[in-house]
Amino acid sequence: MKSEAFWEYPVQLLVLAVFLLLPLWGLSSYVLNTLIMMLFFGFLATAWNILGGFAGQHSLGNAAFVGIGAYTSTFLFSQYGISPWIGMWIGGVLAGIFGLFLGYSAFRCGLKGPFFLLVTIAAAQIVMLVVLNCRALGGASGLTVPYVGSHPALFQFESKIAYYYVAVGLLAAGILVSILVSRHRLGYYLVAIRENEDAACALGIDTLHYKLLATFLSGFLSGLGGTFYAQYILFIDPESILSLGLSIEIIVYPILGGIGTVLGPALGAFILYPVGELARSVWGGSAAGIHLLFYGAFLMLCIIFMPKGVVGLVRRIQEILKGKLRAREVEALAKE
Amino acid sequence: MTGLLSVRNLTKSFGGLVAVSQVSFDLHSGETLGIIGPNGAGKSTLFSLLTGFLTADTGEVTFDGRSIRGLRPDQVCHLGLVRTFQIIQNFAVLSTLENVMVGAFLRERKAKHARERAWNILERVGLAERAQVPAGDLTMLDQTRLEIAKVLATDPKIVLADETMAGLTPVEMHHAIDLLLSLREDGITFILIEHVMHVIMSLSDRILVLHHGEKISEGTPTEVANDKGVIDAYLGEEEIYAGG
Repeated sequence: MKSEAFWEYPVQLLVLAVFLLLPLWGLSSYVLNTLIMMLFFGFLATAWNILGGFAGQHSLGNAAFVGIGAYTSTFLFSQYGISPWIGMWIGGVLAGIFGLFLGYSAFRCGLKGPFFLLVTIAAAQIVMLVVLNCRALGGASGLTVPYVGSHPALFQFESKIAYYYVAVGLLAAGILVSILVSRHRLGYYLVAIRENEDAACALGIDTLHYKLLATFLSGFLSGLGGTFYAQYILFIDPESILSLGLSIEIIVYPILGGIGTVLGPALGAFILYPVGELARSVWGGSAAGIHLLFYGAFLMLCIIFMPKGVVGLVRRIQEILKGKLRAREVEALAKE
Repeated sequence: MTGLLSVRNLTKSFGGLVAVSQVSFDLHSGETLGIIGPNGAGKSTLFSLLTGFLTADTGEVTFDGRSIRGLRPDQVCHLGLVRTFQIIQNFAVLSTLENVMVGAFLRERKAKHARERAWNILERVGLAERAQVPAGDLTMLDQTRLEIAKVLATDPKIVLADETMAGLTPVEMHHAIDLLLSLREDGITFILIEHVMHVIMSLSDRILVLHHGEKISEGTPTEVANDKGVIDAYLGEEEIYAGG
């Protein structure tokens, strides 16, 4: 695994501190909501990146993981009164198991690249159709999370600030998992599989095993995110949490930020989500779709000028600076 | 007497084409076996069969006293039988050190230990100075060294090297031969596929000649070089080349 440059660590802690102190500013509810969703998508993108970035198996069905997590905790809460804090873990594990099932069926047959992508789309669509036709899960009209007022033990808070801190915690945990993965054998193995599966296999790596591990981890984390969404919005339906649209949104952020890097996916969400929100608030009221036009144009420009994402751009600038320094040293030596 | 590796009547066909046919041989610990043969003789297929990338139709492969036929490549590697590829297969975005660490992780769980092990091997093959360079930026010779270093990091009992010298200049080849010779002296058992005759003649204790998937000769380099069947196979090929 390409290790992150050393300066990124103090920066990470600084960023974390800024995020922890931000609400003291007295932010408006609207800004706070934007920040929460930005963190939420940063977390989902980070979860996607473990399988899609490190292991290079691009999934376009991550909404299924999010949905399984959200529906599991909400169902357990509304039917059996089980706290979503507990339901969250059960939902995560179920989403992970679904990932194992999906990964095993696809990887066993040697599917990769676009074929794996298609399987993940299909699997997510199947989950959506099942939920749409399942009366116990509310079908197309969705499920409402029973409102209990301020009740931290049941994952419900009066103030948005509390949700904000939960979101910060989630993303921090997601990034921590990414750092741990990238520093350990698992991370090296996943990148080796991505770069050259045959060579990885020849060096004794059980590629199926490690790809499944990555799928489980990715699904598990996404499932946790689903519960957060359900508790924050207090309403879930297939359209909002199981649709292809959500899967696409999850994959856009890592592409913009830098696929396969620890910080890239979250960074992508930090940049793109507010831009989308801004576009909507500025042009959303005028002619229909103009804000989407702006959003799309911004995305295209980003991809054209930063094909390796924000992290790739930062690395390139670093290298150019290093190169200039070296050139200067060589010049100085030549003068002597 | 059977050795570390024993191959019996190994056969593999693709459709109507018999790529490897009834091949048998033994390999003893510390020995270097060279495999030669004209293009399409089945050399690389034989490697794939031995290392689990392909499964033989019939025949038996016994390694270190147990049958390894039908095992996956990673399982075969765990047992100590590792191959390199004809076309170099490095993990291009990873640094040289990280490439070797991927191999070292087979025997060391912890990144710290894998890194130490990888360093030792990089020093052994003369790549320590290039440790932090992305593998994709290495020269051909260094890529060849890296290919060998990755394999050594898995602590193999037998290394199957598939045309390690391909793409090297004569001077680079000289360095690569020195490396293989020194590894051989360390007691590593090799099976080599090589097109360059003087390379394989100087490295091998024994040579096996394949032609149309069949073993047509086996013996010391001198015996093989004087074998009439071998000469015919090679001259025959040259005639085809001249005609084509």
